[in-house]
Amino acid sequence: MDETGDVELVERARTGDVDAFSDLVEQYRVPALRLAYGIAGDEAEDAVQDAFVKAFRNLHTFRPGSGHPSSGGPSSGGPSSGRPGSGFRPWLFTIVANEARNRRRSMSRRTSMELRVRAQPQPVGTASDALAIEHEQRERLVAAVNALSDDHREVVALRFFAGLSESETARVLSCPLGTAKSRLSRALDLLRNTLGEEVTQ
Amino acid sequence: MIDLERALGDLADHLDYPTGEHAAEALRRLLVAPGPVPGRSIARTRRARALLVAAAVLALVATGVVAIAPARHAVADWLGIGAVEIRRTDRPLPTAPGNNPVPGSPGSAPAVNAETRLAAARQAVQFRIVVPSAAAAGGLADVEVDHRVPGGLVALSYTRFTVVEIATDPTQSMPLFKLLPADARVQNVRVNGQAGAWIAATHVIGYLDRSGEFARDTVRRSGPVLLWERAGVTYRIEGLSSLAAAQSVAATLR
Repeated sequence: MDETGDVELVERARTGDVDAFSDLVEQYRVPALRLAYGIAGDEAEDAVQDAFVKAFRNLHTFRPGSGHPSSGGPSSGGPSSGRPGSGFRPWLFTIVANEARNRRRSMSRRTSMELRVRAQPQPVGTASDALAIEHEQRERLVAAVNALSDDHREVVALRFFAGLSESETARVLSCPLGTAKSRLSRALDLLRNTLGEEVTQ
Repeated sequence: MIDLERALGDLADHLDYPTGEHAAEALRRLLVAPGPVPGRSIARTRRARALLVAAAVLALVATGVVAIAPARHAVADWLGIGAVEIRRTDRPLPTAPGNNPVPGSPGSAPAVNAETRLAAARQAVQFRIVVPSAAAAGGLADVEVDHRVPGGLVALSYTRFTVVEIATDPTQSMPLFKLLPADARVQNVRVNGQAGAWIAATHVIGYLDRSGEFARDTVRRSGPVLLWERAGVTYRIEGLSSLAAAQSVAATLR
């Protein structure tokens, strides 16, 4: 779905068209859950539900075209770098990130912020060794992400788990593009330091 | 050797996040349910959770098990309305008033220049200020505008109560918090057709700083309060001792 499609759905949802809003929910459900999980762990589902309700109630405040311009340039590569950073997605994910931060702040002792890799089915045949190695690599990587500070983990979640561009990440963080880039760069450096020779420098 | 950025993208596909497969349908049912849009079911869920947690805290105390507070502050649960985050604590409430507290302490005498200050406030905030009827409120005593809230906060003080109106931006973190005793009751109510809350217990109110921590110099005590949110503005009526009285004032806001 392109930004024009989002805006059309938002316009319909503003008039009370619940089907249109359901389409938006379905479209952004997975990246929203990944983002919230990256910020608030086990509280992700509640955070996303509250965020979608809040977004629906506040659709009148969404202004298509507002926000930071797309960063462009080769350094803005990566997930979804070709998409404009001024649309519904960063607006919605700002709400998701806020809800997740609220949850993280007030998290009870019964919930966990620790990220986990999903268990995979037992492999069969010759592929089993390779799959096991991949799984172990992911386990080490997620442990390194868990060791990051809240701010660094959040920027990683925005960029890589939710797949936002750098300019969209800056908008969600309410900071200049350069600040978002340097925070992401620092987070990646910390991960490389933790993982050592396992990753390319 | 792996490429880190590629590996992080791959990791996203393998994290154990909830799938939320039925999220769209659940939200759809919520949004088409009779009555005013959302908030209600969520608020009920939160209240139920808050009450469960409060009960759990009391049970721990009753059985002699010390409730160990989470690291930063003794928070038992989270809920919120509009611009106001509500937290519970099993520790004594802060008592010292801040040097620069949240505006809105009720009980001022009428002032001659209050209407002039109200006119200035209308220019200073990014929402339409509503006021209670003269019959319900009496003379306007004071008007304070606080720009620590993006979009503005205005406190209208009358002799018996204060009406506080706060710009609510869903893309910003909640700027205000209320800290309640763990066993304080938060009563879910409807206010002018919107989901709201009535908190009869004494509690404290203050601002959250950018990192989400209490800004201790902004904390002050608050009495009973009626709280609700509508169309991007959070409303509080503070100082009236009964829910019915607060509802009566809310009904006259124009």
